Order: sequence, then C-alpha cells, then structure tokens
Amino acid sequence: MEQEILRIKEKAFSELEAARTLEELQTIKVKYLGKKGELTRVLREMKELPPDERPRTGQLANEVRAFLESELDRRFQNLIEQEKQKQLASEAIDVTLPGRPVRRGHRHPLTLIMNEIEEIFTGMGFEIAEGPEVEWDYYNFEALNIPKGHPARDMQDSFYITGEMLLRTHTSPVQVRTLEKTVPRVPVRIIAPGKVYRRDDDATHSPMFHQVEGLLVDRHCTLGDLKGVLLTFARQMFGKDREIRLRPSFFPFTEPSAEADISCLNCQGEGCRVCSGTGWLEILGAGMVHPKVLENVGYDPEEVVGFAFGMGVERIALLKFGINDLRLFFESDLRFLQQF
Amino acid sequence: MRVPYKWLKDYITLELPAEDLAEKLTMAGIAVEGVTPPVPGLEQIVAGKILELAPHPNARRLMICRVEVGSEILQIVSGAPNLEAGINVAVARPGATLPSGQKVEVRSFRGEKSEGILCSGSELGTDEWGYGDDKGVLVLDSGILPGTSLDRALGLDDQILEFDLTPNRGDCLAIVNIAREAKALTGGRLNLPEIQVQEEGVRTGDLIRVEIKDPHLCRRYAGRIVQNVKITPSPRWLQYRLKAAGIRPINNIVDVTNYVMLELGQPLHAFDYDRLQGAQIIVRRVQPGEKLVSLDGVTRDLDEEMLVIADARVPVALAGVMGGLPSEVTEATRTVLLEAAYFDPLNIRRTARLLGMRTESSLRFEKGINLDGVVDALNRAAQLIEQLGAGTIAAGVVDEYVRPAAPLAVRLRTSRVNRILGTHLSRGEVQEILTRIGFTCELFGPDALLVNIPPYRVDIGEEIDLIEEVARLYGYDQIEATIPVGVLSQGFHEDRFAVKDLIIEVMVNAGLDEVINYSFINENSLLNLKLPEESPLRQTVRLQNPLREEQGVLRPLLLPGLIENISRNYKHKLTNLGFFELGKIFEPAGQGKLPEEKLHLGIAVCGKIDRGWQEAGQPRDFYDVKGMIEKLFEVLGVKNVNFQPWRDFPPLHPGRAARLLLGSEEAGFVGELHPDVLEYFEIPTRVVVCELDLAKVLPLASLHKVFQPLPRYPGIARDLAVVVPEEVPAARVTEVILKTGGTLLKECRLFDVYQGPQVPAGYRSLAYALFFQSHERTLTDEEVSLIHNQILDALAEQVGASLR
Repeated sequence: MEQEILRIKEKAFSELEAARTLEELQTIKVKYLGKKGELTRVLREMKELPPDERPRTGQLANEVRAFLESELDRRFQNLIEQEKQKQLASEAIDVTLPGRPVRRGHRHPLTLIMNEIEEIFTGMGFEIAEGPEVEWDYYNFEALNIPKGHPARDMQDSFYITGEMLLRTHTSPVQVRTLEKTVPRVPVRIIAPGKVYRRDDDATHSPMFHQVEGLLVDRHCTLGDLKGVLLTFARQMFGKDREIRLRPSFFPFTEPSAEADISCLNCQGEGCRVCSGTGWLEILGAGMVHPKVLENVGYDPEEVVGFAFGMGVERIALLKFGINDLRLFFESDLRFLQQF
Repeated sequence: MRVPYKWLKDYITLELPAEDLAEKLTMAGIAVEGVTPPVPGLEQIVAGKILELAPHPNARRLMICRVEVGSEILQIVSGAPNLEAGINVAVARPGATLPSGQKVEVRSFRGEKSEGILCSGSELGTDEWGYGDDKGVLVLDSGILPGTSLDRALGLDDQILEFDLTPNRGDCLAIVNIAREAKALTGGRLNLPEIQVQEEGVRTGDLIRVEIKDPHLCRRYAGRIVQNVKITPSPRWLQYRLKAAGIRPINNIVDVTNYVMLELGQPLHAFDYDRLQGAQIIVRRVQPGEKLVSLDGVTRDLDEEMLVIADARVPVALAGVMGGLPSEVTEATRTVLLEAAYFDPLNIRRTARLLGMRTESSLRFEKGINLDGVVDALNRAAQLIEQLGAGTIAAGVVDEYVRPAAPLAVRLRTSRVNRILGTHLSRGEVQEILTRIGFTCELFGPDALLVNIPPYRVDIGEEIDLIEEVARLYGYDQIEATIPVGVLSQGFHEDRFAVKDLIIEVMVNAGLDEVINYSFINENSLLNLKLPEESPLRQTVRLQNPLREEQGVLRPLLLPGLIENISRNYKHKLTNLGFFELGKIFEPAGQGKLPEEKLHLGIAVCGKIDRGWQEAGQPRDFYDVKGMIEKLFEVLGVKNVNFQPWRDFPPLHPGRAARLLLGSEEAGFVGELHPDVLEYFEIPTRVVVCELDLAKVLPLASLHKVFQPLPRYPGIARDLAVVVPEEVPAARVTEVILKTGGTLLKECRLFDVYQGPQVPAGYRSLAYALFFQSHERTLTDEEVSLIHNQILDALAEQVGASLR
C-alpha cells in the first residue's frame, strides 16, 4: 500500500506540474483528493491494513496528502498569477498617445501684472481704490495743480467728451477723490489700478492703457520712505537683486518729483540694447504730494505729508514678459493670449 | 534743446567729458537724452596731403595718389575729378568705417594697390555742415597738418547734448542757465558774457516810439536801432553753432538774434525798420478783420484775443510767435529795429496752439522768460552785430517796462527740508547747496533761510520749490531708502475686488481666455448689431476729438469688441475660440453729469471643444455658455437666477436667446448671435454670447460660506421619466417637481431629453434623477413612493405630463 501511495504521489505530482490551466488543476485535485479521488480511496482502504502498519502508512498518506495539497495550492497561485499577468498584458494601452485635453483659459497678461502689483502693495498696507474713467477736468487737471493753459497739459493729450469732461489721462484723479473722502483722517494708503486714455497711437503708445496709482498721506512720511517703498516693490516685482535709482523730474502734483529706474533686467546694469546702454529702465513716476493738492482737498500741508507714484502696467508687462509690441495687448490674438 | 559742448564751455570751465556732465545733469533733473558728435565717425578720418599723382596704367578714369598722412605715405587709387598734387584731402585709412557702414580695407584696383579711400563730403556727412559735396574729394584748408583727425581739422570735434527738459525748466532753454546748472554740479568757474555796446550816432528814441496798449499781455518791450546794416552770411563759427543747436542760419542779423536767444533764452526779433509805418511800434490786440502774412509766407487768420506788434497802421508781427513777411530783414535792409520783449505766457501759448505755430520763440515765452534780462539780451545782440561788422548801433535803448518784476525772496525752513526729504541737513549745508546754484541766502530766525530767487528762475515761487532744489542738488541717490512708520497692517481687500478676481477665476477655469478691448468703439458696430435707433444702447457717450471714427463713441456694451475678437481670430484661421472680458461700459447720464460706468462681464464662444483623439470635438452651443453662467452664480452664491426666452433682442437669434433675470431684475442676456449680425461681422460660424451687468450681480454675491451638517441618514434615489408637450419649458417641469417634492426632495437633476420614435409627435420625454433624504430619520420606500406619485399627479395636472 505504501508503494501505491508513493506511486499516486509521483503520478499526481507530475500531472500537476503539467497542468496549464486552472480547470486542469481542478480536475487533478478532484482526481486525487476528491471524495472519490485516488488518495482518498487509498486512505479509505487503510482499515484493511494490519493495525501495526496503520500508523506508519497513515502518516505517509497524510504527508502525501498535505504535500499534494500544498503543491496544488502553489500551482493554483502560480496559474492565477499567470492568468492575471496575461489579462494585464492584454489590457496594455499606448501611453504615448496624447492625454484628453483639459482646457483652462488664460488671464490677460495685464491682469496678471495688475494682480501682482496689487498683491505687493496690499502686503505693504495699501488698500485698493477706484475712480471713474470719464472724469471732470477738475479732478484730472485742476485739483492736481494743472490749471488751464499750464504747459504740463501738453504732456497728456486728452480725449474730450465736453469742454469740462474727458477720459482721464492718468489714475491720479483717484488721489483727489480719495482724499476728499478721507480728509482729515490719516493715514491714507491706497493704490488705484485702472484704464487711462491719451490721444496717441503708435508703436510705443496706445490710446488706452493701464496705470496703477499709489498714494500715502500721513503725519510723517518722507522722500526716503518713498524710495524705500519703491525699492521693496521693485525687488518683489523684478527680483531681489534689483536696484532702483530716482532721478529728479517734474509733475505738477508732486514736488519734489522723480522718475524711478530699475537696474536693467537684461544686462543687470551693464548696459545693453534693452536699456539703451544706460543700465537702467524707467518704470514709474513719483514724488512728494504737492502742498497745493493737499490744500485743494482740505488737508493742512503743514500737518500732513504724502507721497504718490504712478506706473504704466503695459510697460511693466513688456519688461517682465519680454513682449516687444504694445499693440499685442489689445489685439486679442489667441496665439498671444494663450502664452500667459 | 540741443547744446554744443564747446559753446557751453564758453561760459564755464569744465574738465570732464561731455558724457559725464550729461550724466550729472540728468541726475539733477536736467535730463540729457543723448550726446553725439555733429558728424559721427570723423575721428577715424584724417587729413592727408597729396604728394604726387599719376594716371592708373590700366584704367583711364583712375589716378594713383601718393598721400602723406602724418608719419606714413599711402598709395591710394581714386577716381575723383578734383585731384591735384599739393592739396589736403580727407583720407579713410584701412580699418576705418564710413557712415555708410563700409569698412575700408587695402584693395587692389586693376593690379594697383590702394591703401584707403579719398572721401567726398557727402560720403562723410560733412556736406551738411558746409564741407564738401558729392562731386569730388573733400579738399581741406592748406594749413592743416597731414595726419590731423578730420573732426579737429574741420572744427567738428564737438559733442552735442540733446536735452529733454521738463516743462517747468524753461530757463534751461538758455545755454548760460545750463552753465549755471553745470557749475552747481561740477564746481566749475562761471564765465558769463560781458555785455558792452559800442554806440554811435542818433538816439534810438528819436527813431522809434513804442507804445504798449495791453500791459496785461506785454509787460515790457525794448528796442534798439541798427544802422548801416550790411547783410551777409554769418561767419562759419556762428553758422556752426546755430546748426549744431538745430537752427538754420539765414543772415548775420537774423543769426545774431537766434544766437542770443539760445545763449540767454530771450527771443528777439529783427524788423526792417524802413518797412515800418510811422516810426512807431504799438503792442496791441488784433483788431477785427486783421490778417498777417507770417515769415513762412502763410496768411494767418487772427482772432481778437491775439497780441500783435503793429506799426502805425497794421500788424507787423505776431507777438512772441513769428514776425511778418513784409517787414522781414532782407539783403536790401539798411536799418533794423531789434525787439526784445516779455509777453504773457498763456496768451502766447494760446496763439501758438490755435495757429499750429510752435516756434523756438513761442516755446520760450510760454514757459516764462527772465523779465529782468530783456534789455541785457537786446544789448548782447547789439554787441554781436557790432562785433561782426553787420551794422552800427544807435545810442540808447527804448524800454517800455509797464509792469516791473518785484524781487522775490522765499523763506525756507531747514526743519521742513528734512521733514519732506527724510534727511538730516544742517542750515549751513542747505545754504551751501543753494549758493552753488547761485541763490543768495540770509539767515532768518533760528531755523530758516530767506532765499533770494534770481529773476531767471521763474519756476521757483514757494518753499516746496526750494526743497526740490535742495533735493536734486544734494542728490536723490544720497537720500536713504527707509520704510514708512505708522500702522503696519495688511491692506484691506474689499469684497468687491475679491469678487472680480473670483469671476476671472471661474471664467478661466471654464476654459475662456481673457481679452481687454478699447473702451471706444465704432458707432456703426451698434448698427451692425441691428439695434434700432430708439434703443437705449444707441444713446452713447461721444468723444469730441477721437483719433479716428472707428473709435468715436464709448461702448454701451462689451459685445461689439468681443465679436470683433472672434472675427479677427477667425481670419487667422483660429476657429475654436472662447473669450471673456471684464470691463466698464458707459451710459450717458444727462447734462452736467459724468456718464454712468457699469462693470460688465462679456463672453463670446464659437467652434468646438477639443476632446482629444477619442471623441469628435463637441460644438460649443448655448448650453455651454449657460453652464458657465450657472457655475459663476453658484460660486458667487447668487440664487434666484432665471433664464427667460427672449425673442426680440435684435442682436440675438430669436429662438436661441434668453434674458437673464435675478429675481425680477434684468441683469443680462445669453444667446446665439443673429445670422445677420454674423454676416455683418463676416463670421462664418455660430457664435454664442453673453453679457452680464455686474452692478446687478455683485450686491447679491456672498462669499461667506456657512457650514451645513452632513446628512446622518441614508437617502433614496429615484428616476422619473415623463412625457410632456414640447412647448412646456423644462424649467416649468422642474419647478413643479421641486415644489411638490417638498423639503425631503434634496436633488432634482435632468439627465435626459428625448424626442423620437417612442415618444408621440409634439411631445418630448424628460428624465430626472431625484434624491430624497431626511435629516431626522431613514426614509422608507413607501413614503418616497408616495411623494413620487404626488409629483406625477402634479405634473399630469399642471403640465399635461404622463409617465413614460
């Protein structure tokens, strides 16, 4: 009988090794280990053995059974794994095909720049203010110390609606409108982004463009503070290595007035084509609020001091993105808009 | 303003290169835009002496010259017709670059070596300055040493400073005043012209009488008479200086007046005295009907606000702007009346603008000239005329000075200087700075100075002007950058701005690209939108002086710009487009009021949504844009949004347009453009547009989120498909379902709309996914079925629906 058991083990093992499918394996399991299986049958026949042989033969039979069961299990696992691999292989896709498009639109580059400017200045405690784009001559000029006939009006050729009403030529009227509301409180810290209009149209001028105005009025505030705020802005906007330079200039509503330059982004101040060899790029105009402007809105210029600045958003966008033509901003060409 | 550096150096000792002075001036607010030699590149060219010349053996027209240039002798082949042995000529040696960009090299002409080029005046650009032409080689004075660089040989070794002056610094339209600036910045020694006039003969007052009729517009008028005038061209040095400064030389008398204007900033005029009637000058306003032929030969129509210089009968000059042709100084002129005056800046500015005559003279008068310097300038001109031998100067000056200038002294507090600038200057330092620029100061109390303002500094009238002087001369770069003291708070970001930003975010996430269009549009584009004349949208704000008619009115809608964007891109073969714009529109608000400015959101889409290679692109339609708007309102927390069919809005397709209502308030529209509009704008595809008045939307927006507890009990989902007559709007069906469903119905989502074989004609099937849930308990199937049936009953009764 022991011979018989060993023979079954050999035979079952070799069949099991040869099995290629789960079905074959199941058939083998039934054939040997099933209720009517060969090994089961042998075990059943054990009763007929002499009692002294039974333990030994029984142990052998159990060992063989355990062996076959574990081998079957191993083969089952193998085959399942093989089947799974086959299945996965058959499911392979071409991962080099393009992905399904996810369409996200684009903010206009000028919006991006204005967002950035707003963020920098709100971080420094400035609030955002607004004013109308169609303005009274008074707010756009008179209150800013630019009376009728003042030569400074030539700096800004205007679109008129009526004799007294025009498209604002700068965001500076927002200074006046804000101060009219805040007087006599201090501090006042605002920035005013928005559209402005001048009667110019060529490669470097657009009849409509964007400015961001800044204004700070307080009991204490100096030209040095203006320089500090502009330096902070320049470094956040254009990188921490940026230097700024203030050059004396003239605006009727600030005195002293300045043009602010940053060290050239392209050559780092060495002098190149971008900065016309000077190493500097002009980015904004600024100055200490003229006492007359403060007086016009009811502040006492002996009590409070202020500074103001105004920058062209297009100019900053041109520099930051390396755009070479102002007109692109307003042509709405998809191939342009999608780059930002 | 262009200033030759050599001329400037007449008035101040300067050791530094022109570029360095330019930098210093720029950093002091007197901006120099550029520094260029009169003729660039001349330093590369040298004077050479032709020692001998012989015909080229192989070329009939060419000559072989042996030319001495300093220490070497070159062989140069030339075809110039004016070659002679012994003359000095302009030589470009190998290595030099000509203005044309041509690099000079050693070359061979038909077997003969040529070590350079003999240049003509036009090749070098010196012909513009009166040296040479294009007909032959430039011949130089015989006294010039061979080897001398050509710029020095011709006296063109100069630098011209091109100024870009700010409007307040009219005083710097005088070279002596630029010298004063240079002195303050470099410490050089001033050397202003000494003015002395050699007079002879009759008294001026016997020859001319001056009367100022309008002392408001003319505060001072002075004249001198020059007799025995000999009109000739000016000497070369004078012509050079005028040309370098940008003024065309004319004759000795006129050139002197221009020279003195550039030097001292006082415009002068020279009349042919014999052409003046009645030996009289009357300064007065224009009388009705008067005209004047100005020096440029144009007959000018004048108005009665304008100031003229008249003789006993008629105007002879447009005061401060331009002289008249009949009294022009010509070769026949024997006696000249020189005029120096002070005219009212605003009046001159007005006249110059109205007549389109911005002259060197008007430019100076309108910025304000030195009232005290009028007679000095007159005398200076007389002195130069006499020195040039152009005439003799009659004795004395006529000087009508009707409103003399009062000397001005301004108090300047040291504490105020430091308070504005953030500096720590002492009074002594402030005084030193002001003294450098020629202001005299007296101590005034413990803190202040009393500063005497020189009469030529018409830009200074108040303390703040002096603070600016101190700042710019002290140097902005010396002022330390500091951070403002005070409340250091994060700037308050108003909701209004946060909402705007959120709208942009939603639009971008919806796949739209942001555009910014001009606020002005072509009025015709409103016509192309089929808007009838009586439409309020046709009542636009009109510009008085647009650049062009296509930008004639302020937009009453964003729509025209967006349609234009689609049309333009379509022409570039870009067909899948989705644009949005956030911008203001303008509505007239009646007499004496600013127009109403309203923030609008506009959308325009066309083409397909690209779904990649697996699916065909899906055409964008009404529902795409409606979906975006619905998403926007969801994000903004705006409820109660209704879309109503709108058949009579002319720009839109009558069957595919909706009016957008917030509650009962109209807030915009969504729809397909009318085919006629597409045709007008030449767009060959359907376009869906939307425009929202955000002034109506923003007040309803609420960004403040309130947490809702999560449901604790499971809910039950049911589908509901009903067949309804096709004229029943889906919104009506949904409304009935929601109303009947009550509080337990949490969701009602339309997931299918069907018309076809299984549905009777004139009907459509609408399928909804419903979801019921309670916050208090688990719902039973029975109670949900009950509600479901109630809904069916209500639908049957109210919209004629039947279960499908």
